[in-house]
Amino acid sequence: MNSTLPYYSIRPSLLIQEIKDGSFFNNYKLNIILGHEAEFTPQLYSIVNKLGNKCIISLSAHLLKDLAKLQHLLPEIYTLLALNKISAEKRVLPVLIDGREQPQFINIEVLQNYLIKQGLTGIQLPVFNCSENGLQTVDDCSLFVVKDQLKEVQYAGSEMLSNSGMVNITFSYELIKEIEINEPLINNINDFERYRVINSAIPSGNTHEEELNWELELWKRRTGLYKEFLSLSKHIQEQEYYDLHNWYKNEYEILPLWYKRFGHIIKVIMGKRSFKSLFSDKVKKYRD
Amino acid sequence: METKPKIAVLYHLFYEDTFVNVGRELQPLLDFETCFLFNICEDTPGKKSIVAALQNEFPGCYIIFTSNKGKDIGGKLALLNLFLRSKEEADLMVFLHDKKSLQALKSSRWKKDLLKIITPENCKKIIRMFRENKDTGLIATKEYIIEEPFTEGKFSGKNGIMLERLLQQYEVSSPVNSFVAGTMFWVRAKAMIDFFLQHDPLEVRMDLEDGNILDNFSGTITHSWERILSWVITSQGYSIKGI
Repeated sequence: MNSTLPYYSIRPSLLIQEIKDGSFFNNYKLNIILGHEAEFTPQLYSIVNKLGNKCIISLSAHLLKDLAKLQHLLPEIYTLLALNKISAEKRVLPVLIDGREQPQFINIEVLQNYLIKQGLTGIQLPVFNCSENGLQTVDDCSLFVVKDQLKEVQYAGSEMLSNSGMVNITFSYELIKEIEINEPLINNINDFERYRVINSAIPSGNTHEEELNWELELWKRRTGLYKEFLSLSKHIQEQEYYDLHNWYKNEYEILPLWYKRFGHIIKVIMGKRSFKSLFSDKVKKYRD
Repeated sequence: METKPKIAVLYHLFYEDTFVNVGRELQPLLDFETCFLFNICEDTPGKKSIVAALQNEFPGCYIIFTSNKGKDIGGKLALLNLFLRSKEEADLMVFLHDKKSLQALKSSRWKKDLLKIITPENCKKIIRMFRENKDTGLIATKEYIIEEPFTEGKFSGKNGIMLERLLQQYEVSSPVNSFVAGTMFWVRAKAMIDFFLQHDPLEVRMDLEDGNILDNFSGTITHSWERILSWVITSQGYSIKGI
């Protein structure tokens, strides 16, 4: 998939419907925005699994506000992240607020702590402000979102860049469909300019170089692991050697000499040792 | 005519080079109605190639990435969680992983022995055993069904203290102390599902140790769960059988 393509925001219900109708544009990268508990369905898990690196997941802040509800959702969110290869690798889970909420009142830390306990350390949960009035706070970003689900906001990419250090925007899937159907609209919203903004923003799969660097890092770690195994292996085998040695000493070595010699005669009688070997070291002792 | 059972394969991958064998190893299971779920450790290099190969060999399979937590046990718990949430159905489950145990001299023999349970003949035999013996809950390579040391009324092995605590915490009371070392086995799905619907597998996973821990020198929660996964089945009145 072309990493220069932006992500199109879409709600799970619409995505499921689009796939069902067969009208889903398979070459799009999607930002699936979850806004309700009921949207965490087996069907969604299956779709996210199939989309692989073609989608990312975002959460509406609404889901994080109620602590009791959030506790039930934590494993669901983790499952989606584990299925979504980009989120799992890039450690980013955007959160959307609609302007009525304040970022400090959503339980981002609760979610973050849960993910850390599952081993997803260092995950970022950037907050995107989808406020109606168009004003952006310094740390927030704006998104195009699906009509009637969250407030639709449409800012020019350049304005957003000036107000924010890290600009991330995505397009509404519905909007893009409209644009594709009605070509002249592209000029009206200066679409190509926005593509450029998006490319430098959302972790849109990595650039080839970044990917290679990350792979290199994983190989380095793997080399370290194999070195550890070698050293551990020596340690364990030493221990096994001494365990065996002690066992031999306790079970056999402490027996009186005459008893051990008698044992060798028994071995000859049983055909386990050659008779001649009792008198000479130059004779073959045991059969192969 | 006998209906084919629905099977779920839960396979954990840690090593970067083992995926080339997975297709061949699991080939016999393609003869059944099988759902494949794979977990790839996020520390594993070359995940893209692994994902592509698995999707090619097992179209429609589920693939997740998780951190190296609880080794294969942590991976299998994450897969159990996915299985439950995806509402897939199964009569039998097969737990597998790409065991190498590089620290051990006899590691290649271990893996070969443990994989005896998925040869074409043994798959059929195992399915028949489950069908004919309703009390059979778990089937594994017989040499790997071992007894956890128990003396003077308590577990006396390296994992003893942790085992006592976890068994109490999760209300697992097994009439036998045998378990499958290596955690590769077939299990009656209902028994596993019933337990993990009561106890969220991700909650269990949270407490497991990070990284490549071993129990050669001291006990671990992860190795305790290696034992408890067998006892989850036996505590429900089912027995363990060897093959």
